[in-house]
Amino acid sequence: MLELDRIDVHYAKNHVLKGVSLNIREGEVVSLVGSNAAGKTTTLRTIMGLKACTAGTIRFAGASLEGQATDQRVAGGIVLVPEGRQVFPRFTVSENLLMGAYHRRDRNRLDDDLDKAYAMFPRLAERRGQKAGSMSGGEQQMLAIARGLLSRPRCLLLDEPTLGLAPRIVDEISLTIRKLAEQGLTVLLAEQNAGMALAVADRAYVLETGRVSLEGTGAELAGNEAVRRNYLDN
Amino acid sequence: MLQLVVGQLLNGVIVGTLYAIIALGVTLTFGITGIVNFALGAFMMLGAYFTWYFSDGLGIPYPLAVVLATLAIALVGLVADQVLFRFTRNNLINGLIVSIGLISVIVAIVLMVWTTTPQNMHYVLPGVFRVGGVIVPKMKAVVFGVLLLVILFTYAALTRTWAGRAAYAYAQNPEAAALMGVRTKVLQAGVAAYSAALAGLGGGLYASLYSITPEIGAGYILKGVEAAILAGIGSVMGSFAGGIIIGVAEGVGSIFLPSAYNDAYGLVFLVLILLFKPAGLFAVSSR
Ligand SMILES: Nc1ncnc2c1ncn2[C@@H]1O[C@H](COP(=O)(O)OP(=O)(O)OP(=O)(O)O)[C@@H](O)[C@H]1O
Ligand SMILES: [Mg+2]
Repeated sequence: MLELDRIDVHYAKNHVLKGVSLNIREGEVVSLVGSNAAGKTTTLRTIMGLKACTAGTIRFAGASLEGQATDQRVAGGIVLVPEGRQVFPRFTVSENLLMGAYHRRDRNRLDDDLDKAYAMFPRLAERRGQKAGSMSGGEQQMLAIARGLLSRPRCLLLDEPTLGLAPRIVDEISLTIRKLAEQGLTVLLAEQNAGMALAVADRAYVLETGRVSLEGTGAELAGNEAVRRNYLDN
Repeated sequence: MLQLVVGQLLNGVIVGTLYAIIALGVTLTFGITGIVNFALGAFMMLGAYFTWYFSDGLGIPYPLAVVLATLAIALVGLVADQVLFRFTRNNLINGLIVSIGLISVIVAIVLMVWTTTPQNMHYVLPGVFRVGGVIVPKMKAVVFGVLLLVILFTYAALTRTWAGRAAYAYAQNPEAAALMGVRTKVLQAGVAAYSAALAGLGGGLYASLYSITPEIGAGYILKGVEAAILAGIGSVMGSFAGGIIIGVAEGVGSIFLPSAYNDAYGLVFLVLILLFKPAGLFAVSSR
């Protein structure tokens, strides 16, 4: 469904992605594992058109994304829940969720979608009138994911949704991702937390300083000697 | 004495709403494009000239002349944004330099076409209201009413329409807004044009009250920026209050203090307020 074919990305002269190829099939949860500065965020931003690639092609549902601005990619169904949550701090929870539906044609009839989001994240339901900026990190992460779902994604990109969160919340987020997968959503998850990322993933890629060094099923990689040494054992 | 104070208070309120409409443009432009557009004062001046010319020159009825001038200034603002300010996004210094250049160009053109002679429009709406012992010219009341309505309309649009919410979202987090599918370039151009239209409208209404010269923009942009800072950049209703506070400070200040230093009173007030509330009176906290 989403294919990256030998993507190169530069920040000025800094060659950050070097021929990255990924293939995410419909209905799969794919993880992109890598340490700090490996290029995970850059990969996701490039998929969204927030950053231009210098070589390679990205295809979504069979069509090239070349020349498409971010809003067109969102309208096409690719949705990114960005690193660091990036909720709108002065909007309430419900206003944040509404913004998620901004690009939708049916954005004035969202009652059902909001009910679904609140059912999935009961903590947000209790706080629907609270300003997002005053919520805890975990709550903001839930909100960012819920807002992303309001965008009605066909393929959801998640950038480090567990960063800095307590183990209990990490489990909650893993569970959420599995639930979404069961409903048929395609997910690409970028994570430093390899343990969590490999556990929820059908397949995974390991990204090392801008190159894919390994790929396989979540279980294969979790059992791989190099992965265990570099990403799993502390 | 009391009558004088009340009279100046009312005058201050009316001039203050003119400051407020400029301040609103300043605050919106800053929130969305990251620069302070000092040329909004020149747009206001141009709006005054256009209105005067449409009305007294071409014989178009005044209300229609104001509408036409407002639209024309929106277009000027849009063109200036696409040709110049587009390249100064989030760069205060470059924005300032481009603003100053644009102001000189606009002032030079106006001087060439209409000279330095102050222009006075015909009396659009003669007559006064008497409330107690206080006299309020009808036109001043109309100007106040129209500007107040436009400010309230803007507030409602920002909070209740999708385009407004997109603008407010963008001001909080540009990249997140883009990720929601907001067309950020269109939004920036739209806000630049809307801010210019506000200034043009302010100029068009100004024209019915006071003499028009090529210099009027300078004072108004100064007060507009002061009002925006006073209020705390980013607050719509704050811009309104900020404008009125500065207008009243000037009006009342000029009774007790030499009016030659009129421009300074608002500034002194601004500094005093910022000493106690550095983020501005109505600053919207992000927490
Ligand atoms: N805006 C930018 N300008 C310049 N260099 C950048 C920029 N963003 C990222 N980089 C560089 O690109 C490289 C990859 O960064 P990226 O953010 O994609 O890594 P990451 O895998 O997401 O890391 P982390 O796990 O810390 O979020 C880093 O060396 C980083 O310094
Ligand atoms: Mg990252």
